[in-house]
Amino acid sequence: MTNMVTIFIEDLPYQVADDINLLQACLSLKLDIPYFCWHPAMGSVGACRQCAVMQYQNEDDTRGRLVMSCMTPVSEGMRLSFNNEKAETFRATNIEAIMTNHPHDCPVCEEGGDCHLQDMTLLSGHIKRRYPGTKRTHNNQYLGPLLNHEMNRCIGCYRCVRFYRDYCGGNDLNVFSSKNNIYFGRAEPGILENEFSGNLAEVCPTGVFTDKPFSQHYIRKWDLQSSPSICSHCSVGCNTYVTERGGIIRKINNRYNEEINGHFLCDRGRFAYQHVNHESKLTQVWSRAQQQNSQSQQTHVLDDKKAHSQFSQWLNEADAQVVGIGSARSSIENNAALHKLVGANNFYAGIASDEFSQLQLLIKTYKSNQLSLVSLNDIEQSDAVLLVGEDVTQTAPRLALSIRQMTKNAGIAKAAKMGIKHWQDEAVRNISQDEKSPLIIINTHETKLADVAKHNLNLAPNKQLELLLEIEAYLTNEDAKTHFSATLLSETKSSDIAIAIANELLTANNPVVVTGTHSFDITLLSACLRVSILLKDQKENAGFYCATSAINALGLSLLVQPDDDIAHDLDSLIENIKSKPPTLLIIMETDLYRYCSNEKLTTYLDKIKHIVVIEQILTDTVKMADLVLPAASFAEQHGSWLNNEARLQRAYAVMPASEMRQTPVQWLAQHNSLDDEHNLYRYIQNISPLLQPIMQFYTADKSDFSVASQPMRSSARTAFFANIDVKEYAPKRDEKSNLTFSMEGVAGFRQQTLNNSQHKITTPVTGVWSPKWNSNQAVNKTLSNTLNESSVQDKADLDIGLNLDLNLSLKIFDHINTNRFEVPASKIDSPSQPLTNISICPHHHIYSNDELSDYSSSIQQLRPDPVISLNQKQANDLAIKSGENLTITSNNYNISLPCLINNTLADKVVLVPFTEFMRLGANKQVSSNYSAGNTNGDVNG
Amino acid sequence: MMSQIRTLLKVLKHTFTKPDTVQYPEQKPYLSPRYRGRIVLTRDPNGDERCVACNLCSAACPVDCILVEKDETQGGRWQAKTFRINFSRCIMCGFCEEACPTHAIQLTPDFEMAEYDRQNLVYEKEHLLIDGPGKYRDYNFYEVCGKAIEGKAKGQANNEAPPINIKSLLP
Ligand code: SF4
Ligand code: SF4
Ligand code: SF4
Ligand code: SF4
Ligand code: FES
Repeated sequence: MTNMVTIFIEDLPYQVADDINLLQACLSLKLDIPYFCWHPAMGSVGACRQCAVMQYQNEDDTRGRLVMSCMTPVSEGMRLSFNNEKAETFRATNIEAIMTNHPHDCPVCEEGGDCHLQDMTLLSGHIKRRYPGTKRTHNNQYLGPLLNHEMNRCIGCYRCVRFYRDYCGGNDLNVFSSKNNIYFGRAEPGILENEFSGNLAEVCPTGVFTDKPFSQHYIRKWDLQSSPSICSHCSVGCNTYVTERGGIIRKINNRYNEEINGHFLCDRGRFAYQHVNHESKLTQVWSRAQQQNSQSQQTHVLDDKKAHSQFSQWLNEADAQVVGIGSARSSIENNAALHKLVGANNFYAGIASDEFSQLQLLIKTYKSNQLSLVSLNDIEQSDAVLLVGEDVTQTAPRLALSIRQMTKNAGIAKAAKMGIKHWQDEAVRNISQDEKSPLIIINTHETKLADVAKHNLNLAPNKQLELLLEIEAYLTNEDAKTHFSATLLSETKSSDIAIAIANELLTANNPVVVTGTHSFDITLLSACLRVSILLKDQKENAGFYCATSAINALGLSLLVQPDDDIAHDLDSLIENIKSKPPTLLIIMETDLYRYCSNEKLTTYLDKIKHIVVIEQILTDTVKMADLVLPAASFAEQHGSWLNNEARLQRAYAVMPASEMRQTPVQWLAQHNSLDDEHNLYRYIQNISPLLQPIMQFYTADKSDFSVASQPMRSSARTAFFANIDVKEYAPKRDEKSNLTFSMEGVAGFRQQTLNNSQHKITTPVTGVWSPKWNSNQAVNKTLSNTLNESSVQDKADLDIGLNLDLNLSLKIFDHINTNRFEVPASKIDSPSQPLTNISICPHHHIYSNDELSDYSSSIQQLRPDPVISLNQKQANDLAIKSGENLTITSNNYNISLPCLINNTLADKVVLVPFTEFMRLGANKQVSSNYSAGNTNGDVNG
Repeated sequence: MMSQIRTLLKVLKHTFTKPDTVQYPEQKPYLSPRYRGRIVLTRDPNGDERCVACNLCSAACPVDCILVEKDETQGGRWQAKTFRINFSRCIMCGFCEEACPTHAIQLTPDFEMAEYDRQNLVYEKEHLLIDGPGKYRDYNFYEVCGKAIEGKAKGQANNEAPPINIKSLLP
C-alpha cells in the first residue's frame, strides 16, 4: 500500500509516496539530484556516492549528516537539505574523482548530447579538470553487430552488469579486475548473447556501450526528429520512439509505458527498423506488361495516375472476381481499407490456417469475458506463472523479461516481511537467495528462462497436452482435490507433477497462464484456455496471456468476418485458387512464400490473371506481381495496432512517405470510396464493434494544436536542403495527425503542461527531455511513482514528457459481457501410451522469426544457420550424427538440413526452423532415406 | 568673422590629412587575424582533417546554417561526410568557432563573398576545407582524445597510461 508522507526539503514541506527511496522521491518532485548507479527498474545499491544529501535529525539539528538519498527510505517528517554546502562539496569532489580518468572524448562520443555523465557533471558543478596526472586506459572488445564498446569512458557505476546479469539473466558480461582498473566486458571478445543487450546503450550512463548501427548513421540527439510509435516486430506491442533525419531512420528508443515495456526493449525491436532504410525497399509503382507478339515480359515504372487507372480497370473487368489478402503486420486501418474494397467474403487473413483457427478461438474466448487479459506489468507483479508450449524468449522476448522479473517476487515479499524495501537491491538479493516465485515451463525443449524456472518440463506436444488435461481434471474435480486419480490417467508419476503444478497455481495469489500460438496446435491452446478459465473461477486474480505471431494478428482476425462458414485464412485461399482462381488477387504486406513452398505457390499464382501487391520491400511475392504499389513503412504512417492483451495502440509517422510510397489506405481510397478518414473509422466499427474505441484516436488526430516532432535545439534548418535550393520552403506537416515534421508547434515534453489548460493535446509526446537533463534519464524526472496510482487526475496534472494519457491505449475486451463460451475440450487419442510418431515442431529464433527484421543488416548477421535439432537418443534411433543432413518431407516439399544435438529436447521431437516449418505445411515426416553422411550442410529451401 | 576664418582653415587643413577611406578594391584594408569573415575548415599539424563532425558548431549557430553529417574512416577517425554552410544565412557571429572543440572551423579576414546568385553562397565541404592549420598551429585533437585511431593506439595519447591488463592479479 502506498501512503503519502510529508518530508521537508530546505524547510519546505512536500508530499511523497512512502514506498520509494528519497532519490526517486526528489526526482519526481523535479529536484535535480545527481546520481549514477540507481535505476528505477533495478533499484539502489549505493555504489556511486553521487546522490548525497544532508539529513537532519529534527528542526534544531544544524549539523546534519550526509546520506545517500538512493539508499534512504522516505519517512514522515524527515528533514533534508540538498543545497547544504557540505553536501554540495561532497558531490563536487566525488564527481571530480570519478572524472579523473575520463577521456577527452565528448566530440567523438556517440553519447554526447544524450549523456547522463555530461548532465551530472554540470549539475554537480565540476566544470574544469584539475587533475594533471596520467589517465588509466583500457582496450575495447568486439561485442557483436549491435553495440560499440569504449571502456575508457566507464565510471564504474555497475549498472551494466546489474542489468545484464541480475535483470536479464545473461552471463557473458561481467566485471573484471579491481579498483581503478575495473573493467566491464566479456571474458573474451565476442557477440553478446542476451536478447536485451541493446538496452545497455540506454542503461549505461556513459558512452561505454553505444548503439552500433546508430553510430553508422549518426545524428546528435538534439537533431533527431521523433514520433511515438509501436514496435511492429512482435505481438507484444512495446512503445518506442522512432527517430529520423533526412528520410533515414536513425534509431529506436524506448518509450516508457508502465503497462508494457517499462524501460526496456528487446534487440529485435530496437534494431529491426533498418528495413525502412534497406536498399530493396519499394518506392516506385512497378508494372509488368506482356510484350505484344512475344512471350517476354517487361517491368516498368508507372506514375500515380496510370497505376490507378490500371488498377481500376482490373477491378472493373466484366467477370472480375477480386480477392484480397490482409496482413497481420499492417495496421487495422490498412486492413479495413482492403476489406472494404473486396468485401467481407473475399477478404482473407494473411495467416496460416493453424494459427488462424487459434486466433478465432482466442477471440471467442476473450469476448466471453471468462479470462482477465493481463499486461506485462501484471505478469511482473504476479506470483506464479505457468508457461505452456511457447518459447517466449524467442517469440515475444519482452514478455520473457517480465516473466523473469516475476520470479523475484517471492524474495521481495520475504524481504518486505523483514522491513526491507523492494528497491534495496543488494539486501533483497541477499535475503531471497534461491527463493523464487514458481515459474513452470512446459515446452518441447529448454528455453532461456530455464535458469529461473521451478519446473522445466520438456515434453512432446502430445505429452504436453496430456499434462494439461490432467491439470484441468484436477482443477475441475472439486471434491477430490487431494487424491486425484481420474480415469484419464494411469501414469502416476505424471499425475504427481500435474497436481504439483495445479497446487502451485492454486496457492498463488495471482497466478498467470502464459501461452502462445507458435505451437500451431489448437488442442494445446484450448486446453490452456480451459485451465485458465478454471483457475480464474477459483482465483479471482488469475490472469491469462497468449502471444501471437505478429503485431496485428489479433486485430486482423477481428476484421475477418465472412458470412460463410469457411475459415478465411491463407490455406483455404490457396485451396480456392486451385479450384477457382480469382481474376484479381490483391496481396497486402504478406510474403506468401513464407507460408508455402516455392513451386507449388508459383503454379497457383500463375493461374491468376492479375496480381496486385502492396508492399514495402522486394519480397518473393512482389516478384510475382503484375502491379506493385509501394506501401509506407511503419515510420511513415499513423496506424492502430491491437496487441496480445487486446490493447489498442496508436503509432505516428515520423517522416513523410518517401517518393511514391503511400499507405494502403491511400492507395485504395480512390477505389473503395473510403476517402474520408471518418468514414474509414466508422467502417472499422461496423465490421467489428469491438474496435469502436478506435474512434478516440481519430478525435485525437483532429485536435488543432500542433506538436513539434523536432527537439527545440534542432540545427541546420537553413542548410539541410540548401544544396538543392537555397530558398527555404515551409516544413512539411503530417496531414493525418497534429504532429509537424519541424520545430513548429508545442515542444513534445511540454505536452502535459498544456493539458492543464483547456487545450488538451492527446497525442503522446515526441521525446524525453527535462531542463538540465538531456539524456534519456530525464524519464526519471517524469515518472509518476510518487502519485497515488488510483488518481488519474494527478497524473494528468504532471508536467511530464511521457505518454500517460490513458486514452491512448485502450483495452477492447474490458467492458463487454457476452454469454459464456465453452472452449471446446481437447481430446487425446491414446493417453499415456508411449509415443510412436516423431512430432515435428517449429523452432523459433528471435532473429529469424520476423519477416521484416530479415531486412535489417545487423539482425541478419545474428541469424543462426538453419538446423534441425533433436536429442541424442533420437539421433541414435535415426542413426544420424550431429552435422549430418536430415531430410523432412511433407505433401509436396522437402527440406534437408544439418542436424544439431540438443539434449534438452523431449523424446520423439524434432525441431525445424520456423519458416521451414511453415512452408512444409501438412503431413510433415522425417524421411526414412535421410541423406546420412552428407555433412556439407547443403540447404535447399 | 574670426570664427568663419577658423572654420575655413580647419577645412583646408583636412585636405592635407591622410584619408581614412581607401581605394577599395585596388587597395585592401588590413584586417586582423581574428576578424570574422569567410569560414574555413582547417587541418591539424599532420595535415589530417580537424573536423570530427561533432555537430557543436551546427548546434551553436543561431541561424542554423551549418549542416554536418558524421562519417567514420577505416582508421576510426570521425569526420564530416557532409559539411555545408549556407552563407546566405550566416551572420558571421563566430559562435561556431567558439563552439568548436577541435579548432577546425575558423573565421578568416576575408569578406569578399558577394555573388549574383544566392545559390552560390551554399558552400560544401570541398569549398571550405583549406590545407593548413589556420590560426591555431599546434592543436591536434586526437593527441588528447582517448579514442584509438590508426597510428595511435590506446594509451598513446597525451597523459595516458598504457592499457590495463585485466587478467593481471595486481590491484
Ligand atoms: S561518456 Fe559522456 S562525458 Fe564521456 S566522453 Fe562520452 S559524451 Fe562525453
Ligand atoms: S560500463 Fe557503463 S554502465 Fe557499466 S559500470 Fe561503466 S559506466 Fe556504468
Ligand atoms: S558565424 Fe555564426 S551564423 Fe555564421 S555559421 Fe558560424 S555560428 Fe552560424
Ligand atoms: S564544431 Fe568543429 S569539430 Fe565539431 S563539427 Fe563543427 S567544425 Fe567539426
Ligand atoms: S545513486 Fe545513490 S549512490 Fe549511486
